[in-house]
Amino acid sequence: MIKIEHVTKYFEDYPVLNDLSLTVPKGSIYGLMGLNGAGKTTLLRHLSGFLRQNSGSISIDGQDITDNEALKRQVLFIPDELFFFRGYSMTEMSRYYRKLYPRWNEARFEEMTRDFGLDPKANIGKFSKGMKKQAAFCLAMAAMPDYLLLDEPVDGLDPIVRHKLRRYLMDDVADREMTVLVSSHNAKEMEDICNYIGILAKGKMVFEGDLLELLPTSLEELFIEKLGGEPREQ
Amino acid sequence: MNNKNLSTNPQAAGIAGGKRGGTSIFACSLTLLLENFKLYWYIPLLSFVAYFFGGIFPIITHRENIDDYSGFLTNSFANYNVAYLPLLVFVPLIASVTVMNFYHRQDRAIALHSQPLSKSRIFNSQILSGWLMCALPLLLTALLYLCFMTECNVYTVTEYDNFYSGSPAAQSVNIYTAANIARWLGSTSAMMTFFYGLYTLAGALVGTGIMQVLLSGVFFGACPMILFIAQGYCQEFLRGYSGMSQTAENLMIGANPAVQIISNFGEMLSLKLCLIYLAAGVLALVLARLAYGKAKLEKVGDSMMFRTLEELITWLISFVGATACGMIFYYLLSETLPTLLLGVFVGLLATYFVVKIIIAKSVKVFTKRNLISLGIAALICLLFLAVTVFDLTGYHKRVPAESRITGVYAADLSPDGNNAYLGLPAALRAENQLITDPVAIEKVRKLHKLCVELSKNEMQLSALRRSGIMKPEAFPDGKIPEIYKNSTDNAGNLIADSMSYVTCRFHYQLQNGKSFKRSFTCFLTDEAAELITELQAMPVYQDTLTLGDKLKALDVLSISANVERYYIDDGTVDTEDPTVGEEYEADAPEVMYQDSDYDSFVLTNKDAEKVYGLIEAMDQDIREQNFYQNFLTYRLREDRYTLGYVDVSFTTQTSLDRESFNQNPGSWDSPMPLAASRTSVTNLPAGNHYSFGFDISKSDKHTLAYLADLGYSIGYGN
Repeated sequence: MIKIEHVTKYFEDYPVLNDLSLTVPKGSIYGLMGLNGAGKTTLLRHLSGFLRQNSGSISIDGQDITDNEALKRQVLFIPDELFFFRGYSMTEMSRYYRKLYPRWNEARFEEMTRDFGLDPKANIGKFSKGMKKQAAFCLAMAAMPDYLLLDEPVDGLDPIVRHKLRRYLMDDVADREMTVLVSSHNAKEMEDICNYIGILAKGKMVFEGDLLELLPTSLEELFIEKLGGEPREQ
Repeated sequence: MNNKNLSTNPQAAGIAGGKRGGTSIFACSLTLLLENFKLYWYIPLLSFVAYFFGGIFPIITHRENIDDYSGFLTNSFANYNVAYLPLLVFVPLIASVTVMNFYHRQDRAIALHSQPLSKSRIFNSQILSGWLMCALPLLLTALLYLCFMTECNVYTVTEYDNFYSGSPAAQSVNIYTAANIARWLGSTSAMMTFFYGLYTLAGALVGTGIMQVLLSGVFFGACPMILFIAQGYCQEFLRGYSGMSQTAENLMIGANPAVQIISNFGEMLSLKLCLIYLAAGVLALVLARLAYGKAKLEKVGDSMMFRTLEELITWLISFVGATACGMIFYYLLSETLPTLLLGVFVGLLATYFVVKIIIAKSVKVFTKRNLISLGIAALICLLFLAVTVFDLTGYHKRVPAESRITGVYAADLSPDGNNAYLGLPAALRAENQLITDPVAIEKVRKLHKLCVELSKNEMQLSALRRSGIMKPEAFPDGKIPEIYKNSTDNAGNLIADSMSYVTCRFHYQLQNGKSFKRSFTCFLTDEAAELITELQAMPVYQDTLTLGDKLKALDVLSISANVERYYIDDGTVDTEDPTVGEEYEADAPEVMYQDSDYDSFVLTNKDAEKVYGLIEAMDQDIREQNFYQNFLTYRLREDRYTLGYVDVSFTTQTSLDRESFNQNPGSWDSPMPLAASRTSVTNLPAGNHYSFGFDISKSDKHTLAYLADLGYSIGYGN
């Protein structure tokens, strides 16, 4: 379970997260929504162990993620800005991941690479933005994480790939009780995969709830209602 | 390092003791280390290739005549080599900037910090990778040096001494030894670690690679630069400034190993200095780790990671820029105070805003906050100018009270040859002889006060800068002193040149154990000249300058002298004169030689008494010097022409000091052999070898007479 309690984060003097709290139950898919600059990416970077809050607490399975190597082995973060070692192929990246993540599943990696139609020997630097996202997703899923943090995962992906990605996520959540925290602007996409939804505005949680309980209101309507405008991207 | 900490197995992370946040602070990831080498293999490779062609290749290709390359090898081992010195400076910079990208590139920083790697493990792995990239080429180069090792002989300093002391043929020293290779590897690794630590610290304080390069440049040159500027301002403007203290000079040179190498002229660094560099490098790495630990990673990609530091560095660079610009204006435009101040002002504005623009990555830097910060930078510059240019602290007027003085050191009061003996070991030098006589101390104080008054005169100061005609009004009582009567023109003005003024140095030993030093360059009054004359006539003062008694009091094992006389070969000297060298030819075969400019003869140890006699004759000349008269005749100049030079070598049972060995550490043409330069005391067959010399001029009548008695007349030609 991911638990965030009264977290505040300042960038210089500007509050990016403001007394934010949220809970992501184990085995669920939690969607974070909000306008640009709402604090979604910042929140995910805290959960990945990259940033440290000014106040409040962040825990995964009751443990602080900062400098916690054992916990980090169970948590995978796919950021919006992807990074691969320069000139590396997927195979080379997989060798690196294999050394870092003890539950690395080579068969799954090969299967997913094939499924996405990616050349494992090709230089990832030559891939398109969408292909790089697929590559990052293959590497992350093959590491068999308990927690998956996704920052705008479907940006730049075609509908078929989005569908495949959704399927892999759902399967892992169902089979292994993987917990997913995903940020997106895309209300429709979120509606399709998420159990829970949280809407952020100016670093504060303005809505948090079970998606089923919202019915028959659509997520898009809720988004407009809470944030007072059209979602930026659809 | 604990093996469990250097692990490819993720399960092993954080097993060792000394844990922090579940992971040891010494944790290291072999995986990251290998990835770094896989990615940046070309850095150590290119470095090694450069070391190979810069140092090893010439040795391999000249193994047959390697003695001819002894100078090259000596310089290489001291890193005083056109390839080695740049490599020492730039390879650590390239390696550090490369490995610090985990901290300067946001995508990489996010990826690495979200992977199962603690901050310690990431930092240690990256930093170790970079260090190894620098160290491995050194290790390989050292191995190659060992592989191609062959005997490479150079003449030692002892051979020169033995030559004049009449000893048998001197031994040569092989410098291509495993010990010297090990010393090179050790000293180079220490200096490399220093640079690498410094650059890494710079990298930990900034958020981009470009800023790391810039800040590294600031760190590289800041300390020597600030001391150099301060020295320049004090020398130019601060009256009474006696030069940089030894500590400050050592700091200015030693703060940067590259400056130290250049100033060593091919001599290897001492073990102590190497250890200091190594410790400083390690300390810088520890500070870098602390800075990285404290840094907020959301600032990755910003110019600076810490706001306070941004201002400090801006002020530092602005200060250097402003003061340097002030000096440039002063020397290039006009040597006036307004020009200096204008230069400082322009330099301050330019440097401050350029630095701010670089840091902010924007030209919108004219904010209220920055203007306040600029005000602080201006205050720092003003404070500096107040102390150095306007002498706010009253530095130049200060004369210690008599009650505070323990003694005075014999000062270099005039340029008239009173410090006749040159290159003496420190223990025998006049300036190190403490005079405790109260009468002498009072005279020195009185002279000091006179110098303070004389140095206040702006007209005189102006004349010092631009020698030329100096009118009587420039002197306190409105007339040219008697002492300058031989240097006036028809109108009664002093024709001032570089010989019209003297430099008086004062060095007091105070009761609190501290030293008090001042130095004044000024035109004299008759009162000052008479005071110097009185002081120099005092036996306690003369005892500091003479040498004969001091030498006799030492346990001298051998002493020899080489006497040279100068002439212009215009036919006035009969080079076939049978009296020249005849008497000593049997004692010293091959010692007589002549050319068109000078000839010489040698007094070997067998003639030790004659050497002492020569020194005593010189001592007598020193005692009979009369400053006032000398200064007058100095105007005539002809007495001051050097007619000859005596070079004395002697050996003592006990060591006088080590300093005298370091005075001639070698030169570009004939670098001091490694083994002989630092370890000469232990290499010499017996005793401690020293040498000194003195000029002989027309006024040294006793010395000339003594040499004439020996059958060696000096004074031909001009």
